[in-house]
Amino acid sequence: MDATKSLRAIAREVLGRDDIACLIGYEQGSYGFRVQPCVLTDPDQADRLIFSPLCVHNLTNYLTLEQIGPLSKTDIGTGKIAVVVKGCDSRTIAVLCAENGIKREDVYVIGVHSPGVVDLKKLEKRFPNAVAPAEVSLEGDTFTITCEGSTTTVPRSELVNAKCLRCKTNVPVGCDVMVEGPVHSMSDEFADVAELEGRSLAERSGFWHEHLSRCIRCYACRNTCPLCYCSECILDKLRPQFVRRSVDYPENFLFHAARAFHLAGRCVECGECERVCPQDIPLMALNRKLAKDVKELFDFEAGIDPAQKALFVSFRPEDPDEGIL
Amino acid sequence: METQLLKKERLKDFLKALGGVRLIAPVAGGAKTQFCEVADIDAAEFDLDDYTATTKKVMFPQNETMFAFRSIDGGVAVEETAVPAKTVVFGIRPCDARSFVTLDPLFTKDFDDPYYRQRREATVLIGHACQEPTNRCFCPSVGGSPSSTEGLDVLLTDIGESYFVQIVTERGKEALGGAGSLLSPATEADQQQKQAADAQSAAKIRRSVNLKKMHEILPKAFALPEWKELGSKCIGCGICTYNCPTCHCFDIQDEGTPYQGRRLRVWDACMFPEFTVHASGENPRHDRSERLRNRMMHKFSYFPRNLGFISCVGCGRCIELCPVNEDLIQILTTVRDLCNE
Repeated sequence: MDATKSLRAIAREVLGRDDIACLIGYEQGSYGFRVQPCVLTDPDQADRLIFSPLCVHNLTNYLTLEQIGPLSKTDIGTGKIAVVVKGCDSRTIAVLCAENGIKREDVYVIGVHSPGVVDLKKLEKRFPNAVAPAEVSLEGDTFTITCEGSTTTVPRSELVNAKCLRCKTNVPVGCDVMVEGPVHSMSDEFADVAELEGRSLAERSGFWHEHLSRCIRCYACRNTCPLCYCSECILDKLRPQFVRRSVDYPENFLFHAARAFHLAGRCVECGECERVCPQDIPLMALNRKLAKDVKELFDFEAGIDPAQKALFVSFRPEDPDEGIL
Repeated sequence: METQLLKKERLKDFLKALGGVRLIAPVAGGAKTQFCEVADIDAAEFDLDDYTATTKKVMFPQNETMFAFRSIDGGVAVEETAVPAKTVVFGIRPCDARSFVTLDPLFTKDFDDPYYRQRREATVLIGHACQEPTNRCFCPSVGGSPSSTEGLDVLLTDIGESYFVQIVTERGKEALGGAGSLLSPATEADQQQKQAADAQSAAKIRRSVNLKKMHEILPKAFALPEWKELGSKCIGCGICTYNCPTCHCFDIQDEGTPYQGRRLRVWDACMFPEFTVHASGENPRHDRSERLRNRMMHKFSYFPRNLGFISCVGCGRCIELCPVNEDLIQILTTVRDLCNE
């Protein structure tokens, strides 16, 4: 609740400034546990904002879109876009700036020390009947869930999003203003990736065949990814057509492999692709494998430092050059 | 309507007794329940409580080969698509069955679509009444109910130890011909149990939307500036349309080489920018909010005006799955309020 209060105070001040065009934040959703992104333009709207473990979205996705809330990029003109970010989300801004996707001076970054967000699928499975607005808070190792008139506590580990269990730091990087809260730091040894790597080629092939065959190519993963922002996606091209429109395992594999490779050294592991997948495809397994390789081969972690260059335009003299012909 | 009783433990025998047909049912296993062909009824684990698996693909597959072609000496050989085999869909929910009622005139009225029609004619729908509607269901608002028989040939309702079997159509009666010995007549007490089960399910539905005159309100609301805000959260993916049982837009593509290939029909979605882009490069539905408005208009205004009913069955999948909580109930309610209706 305190984060919400601080956030509203900041928003009121920020939205009153002449150089700010709008603010992208979270507000109460339409039912149950749902929270939705919102775009505010007036200080009087600040009290719509909320922040809780239900704020799962990575709002930086909107920064690269042509239309942001009621405003188009033309309406925004020279004004800055203020955006609320969690630790993982803030890394997206670092990557976007490093590759000139956005200009840092065009955004105003409001960081929040997030104690962790829920895994919505798990939460809604456990509390399936939430229709009236439900609330979730997280203190220490316990979620407090108020839903349909009753309050329940659940251990953090049971409902928290998997990405939060390996979050190296929940302190957002490169922010203009911060809503502070408890700081945490966990180690990430890529145990999940190692498990998959440990399987035989046939097993891995079977694993992906099973999962990717289910893909219906709704492109929710691509569109929800803040780092998939090409003005024309290679998948949509017809001349030449790189990926066929038929929806089957080979084409689905091509789609997901192409997307994963394009995110190598860029993915900040916000987990949005996997969260939104209507077919429950473990997409983060692909991104995590690439993150591990990038870490091991180049000692690089995307977006961890706002001053860092993009991986593929950086070169260090001590690089062993093993990957170059 | 004829009513019968089927002992629950005889369900698999019942399905086997339907004879040499292709059986499609919600099968558990793997990471997600899917409606798929059941090769071995004994081995299959049916998941009748799953509310996410879509059934649209049964009549309107995501990939449909319209014909295959290959060049031969002196011309082209064209291979037509085979006529679909006789099929029984078991375990479909009432809202999904109603979706075919909305699709029928579309695929058969102005233009006879042989692919859809032949499949529809070859398929018997055996429904399973919803016992546990979800927190996103709103079928009563669109004229449905968790126990609706509309579009179904047979409906099974769980009444404890047995299924209450409603034989809705002649087709259903015919399909159940071989299973007659497994059915027993329903008694007055069974009837009462069935009514109680229906009432219990209906009471669990708590979301609703007022659609009165919506087909007239929406055209008036077309130019409202608020659409920009209503549609601004949308990220432009196809999750709502691809999971919608009534969305039916498609694209036609040729795949292969000039010498050998196939003409294919695949799902398409009005939420993709490419859907309306012209050869000139101009896109009349430039913004995401314009595309979202079109989706609302299509379902709740164009469809009622052209065909007399709305094109939504209240399954709520678009609401549940939307990555950013674009909620058609919220959108339509806001539009109504803005128009003071």
